[in-house]
Amino acid sequence: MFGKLTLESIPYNEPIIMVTYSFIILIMLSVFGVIFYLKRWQYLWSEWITSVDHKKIAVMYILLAFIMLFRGFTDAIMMRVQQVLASSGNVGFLPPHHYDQIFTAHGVIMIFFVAMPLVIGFMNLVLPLQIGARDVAFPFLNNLSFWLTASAAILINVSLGIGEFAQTGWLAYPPLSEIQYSPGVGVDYWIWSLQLSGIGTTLTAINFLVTVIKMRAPGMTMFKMPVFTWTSLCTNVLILVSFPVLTLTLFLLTLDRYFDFHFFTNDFGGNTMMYVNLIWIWGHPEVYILVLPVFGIFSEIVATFSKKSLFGYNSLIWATIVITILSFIVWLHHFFTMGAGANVNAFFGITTMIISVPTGVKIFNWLFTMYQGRIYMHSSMLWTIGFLITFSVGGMTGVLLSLPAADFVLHNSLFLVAHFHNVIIGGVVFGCFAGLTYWFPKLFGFILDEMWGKRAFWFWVIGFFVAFMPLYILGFMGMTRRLSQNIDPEYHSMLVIAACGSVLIGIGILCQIIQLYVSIKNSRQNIDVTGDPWDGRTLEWSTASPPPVYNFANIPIVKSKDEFWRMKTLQQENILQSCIYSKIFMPKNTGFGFFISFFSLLFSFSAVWHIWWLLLFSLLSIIYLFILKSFKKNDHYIMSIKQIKKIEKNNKTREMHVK
Amino acid sequence: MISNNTINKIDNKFLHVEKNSKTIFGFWLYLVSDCIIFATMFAVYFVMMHSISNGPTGKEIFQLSVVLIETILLLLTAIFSGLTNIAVYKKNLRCVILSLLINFILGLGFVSLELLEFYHLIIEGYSPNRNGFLSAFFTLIGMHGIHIIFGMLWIIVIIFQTLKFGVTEMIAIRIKCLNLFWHFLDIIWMCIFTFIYLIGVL
Amino acid sequence: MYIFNRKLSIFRKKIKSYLLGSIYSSVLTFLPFLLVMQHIFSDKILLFTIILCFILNFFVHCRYFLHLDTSIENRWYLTVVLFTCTIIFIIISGSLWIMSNLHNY
Repeated sequence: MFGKLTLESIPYNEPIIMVTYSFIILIMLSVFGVIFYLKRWQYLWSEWITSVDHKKIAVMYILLAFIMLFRGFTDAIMMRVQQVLASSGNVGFLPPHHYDQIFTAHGVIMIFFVAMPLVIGFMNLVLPLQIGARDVAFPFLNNLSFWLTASAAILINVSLGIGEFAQTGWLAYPPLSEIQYSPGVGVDYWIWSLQLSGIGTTLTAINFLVTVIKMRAPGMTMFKMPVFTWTSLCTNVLILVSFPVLTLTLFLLTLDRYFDFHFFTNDFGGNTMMYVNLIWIWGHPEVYILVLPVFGIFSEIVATFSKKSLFGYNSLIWATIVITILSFIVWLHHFFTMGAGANVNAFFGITTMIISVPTGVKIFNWLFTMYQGRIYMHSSMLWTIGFLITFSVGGMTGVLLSLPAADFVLHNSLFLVAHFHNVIIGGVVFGCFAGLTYWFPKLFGFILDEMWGKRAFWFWVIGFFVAFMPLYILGFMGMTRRLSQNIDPEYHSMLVIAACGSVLIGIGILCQIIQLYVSIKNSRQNIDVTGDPWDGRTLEWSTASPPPVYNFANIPIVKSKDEFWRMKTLQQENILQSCIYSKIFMPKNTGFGFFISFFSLLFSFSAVWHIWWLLLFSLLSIIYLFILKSFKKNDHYIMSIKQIKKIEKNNKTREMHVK
Repeated sequence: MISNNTINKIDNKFLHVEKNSKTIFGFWLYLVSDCIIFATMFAVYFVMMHSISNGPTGKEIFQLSVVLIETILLLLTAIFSGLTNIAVYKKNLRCVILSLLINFILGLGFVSLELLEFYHLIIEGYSPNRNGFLSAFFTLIGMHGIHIIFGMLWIIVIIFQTLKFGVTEMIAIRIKCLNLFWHFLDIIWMCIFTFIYLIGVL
Repeated sequence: MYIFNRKLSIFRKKIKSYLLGSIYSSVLTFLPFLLVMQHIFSDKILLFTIILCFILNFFVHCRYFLHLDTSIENRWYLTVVLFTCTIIFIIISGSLWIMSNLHNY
């Protein structure tokens, strides 16, 4: 009746998990309780869950990312503590089968449920505003993509309390991930949560690509787009072309596990190395998907806070395009040691070295933008400078690893771990925090507290270096990654320093929570009235904060790059505020995305536990819902000129009061 | 002298779908992602086509005559998809429904032949569990077949929608996407019969 | 009347396109089947012919069925197709090169 699911699937004999899970359930119940008490279910449903507004969806993505950041960071602290204990002769508190699930979950959560949602959230928020559009090309698809990602996140959290998670590392190489060596449900949970979020992400890519290519404001040619729009365009091209490879590879692994196929088995003609090859054809573009939007964020911040237009706009764009193309011909550097010959390794080593060049071009562009600019050391700028230093170090260790001969020594050591954390934290995480500080006023209408933001930055950046520089040293000393038992005591001192670093990062996160609390408390004093708190250069700053649901009452006609800056210089902003309005067609909210994702979650859960009747029922429900949605005709509502006038007048009045 | 009324009526005879349509471009991009899935599956097949363990090779199990019939069926769907587009352009409801139905029947014939081929292979013991080559073969052909089944389902839904809404712009765009889908499936089949069957038999 | 004539000529162009495309692709489909099933030439020539027919058939499909050309309104579609072909080439040839290289050592 319930497939493989029984009451024994709940890990009663693992106290750590039981305590954590009870805690999670308690928090969930409290949140539900508060919503019930304040009678806000209707509000939540009609304003947020069914919303197709790209700004609200962006908020939900970023919220999801921060919630999952807690779980991912907790995993990290547990690993650091276990390694400190295990290298001092202690058994520690995490047996190997548990520790293995932790490092797998840490990787999956941080990449798929923290970094990706953050990046997609920012693209959601900023892209339509920067190109002068009212929304993305397919608002319903946007909503569906978010809920698919959220369903995947829910699935991975269910795996904590019901069953187990994969113990294979975040990429689940076969044959360990085959049914013979991982007979439990862990790898199945892994497969389905990645599939769900992968489909959501691919749909997002299609959405954004059509938006950028077909919905730019009149006059905005490709080379007048802001840099963030360009990097988002390239990111979405990468997503569109690389995620299908992940989808297929996971599908083939599913066939192996469920139906005894022989793609990646050890016997009967399977080829386990093909999996490694395929997964990294996806995996390498994935890391560029994470980092390219962040390069865009930094470009915007550097230009705004140096009060100068970006140095070398054209070279920045071409560098981005080159990185996009080159990212497809470097993937073997993730498995130099798998046994290819010297010519193959040499080719990919060379291409890997070449791909560092356009990134270097970008760094110099940013530095030259700052040179002789009037730099304002806002916390966004601090994050940027932190990024420039940290990411450069990480990039350089990457170039070191690109030498196959060096990689043979350092592959799968802590040096590698330090390198990729260096570039991901220094790049993606710092970038997202910078972007958050930068665009928070646009989203919510008030500015984040600067003091706590700066404190968070210092704790993060110092904590990062204290936590990860020892890992480089440990890598050179020969320590392998993913160790949890009987660790050589020689490594103990470095591991202790690394653990202290992670505590510092934890304090940084605490500062960010406090920052949010203080900012909300003082929100009335920090209202962003003009919509342009940083004297920005691009079109999103020409709207009110937060922007009205239709973004622009009149779509601007663009005449140059940094269009808003040009308008301000010529004091032509009032053109945007012309009082001649016309009716605006806005998409209606819809619950279909939520329900389709709910049944997708049910489908995945029943696939994990082999509950075949539920699987069939969910699949049929999904198909039925899609067909039902396609028959719906009036999915737009009209904003009348009167309504638009009222909203615009309100926003102008707020601005007048300050002036 | 042709009055304004006559010109409007003549205008109503044709329904031109803007190639600029966001939906069509978005669908094109989806087809790109589907192409990549198939391309990767082809890569897997090419890597594994010699991993026969103790099982059969392609030469032993491919039946070209059946493949030829399947190819004719799919080529006809491509041709009838074109006819559907023309019928939509002329806003001829009966022709639209008819050509869609023909495509459905062609697709049904194709899927039946494929299922028959799989059935014969499996009862002879050449199941996908036998070796890596067969896993790849069944998966590649099977993936294509599942896409055809989705196309058939889509045809049924569109027929109902066209009957309900008439040949409007929204329906025209959807039918255009559907026909793009069938052309894409035909192109994938061209790759399959060329690189899997024909070259496999050499 | 002008509009009617213009739309009629577009209509005729479409029919011509589909008709020509059907004929060309039918020939290019039947030819390789015929050659292989009757095994008319040697293996090497057959291989070359089959692949050539495939490439031409692909172009026929793109030009006559998908209406891909270099006009301005089809610019983005063409770009997307060319980019996809490049990536497909990289994935397939890269994988084949890497996986075959693993066997030689």
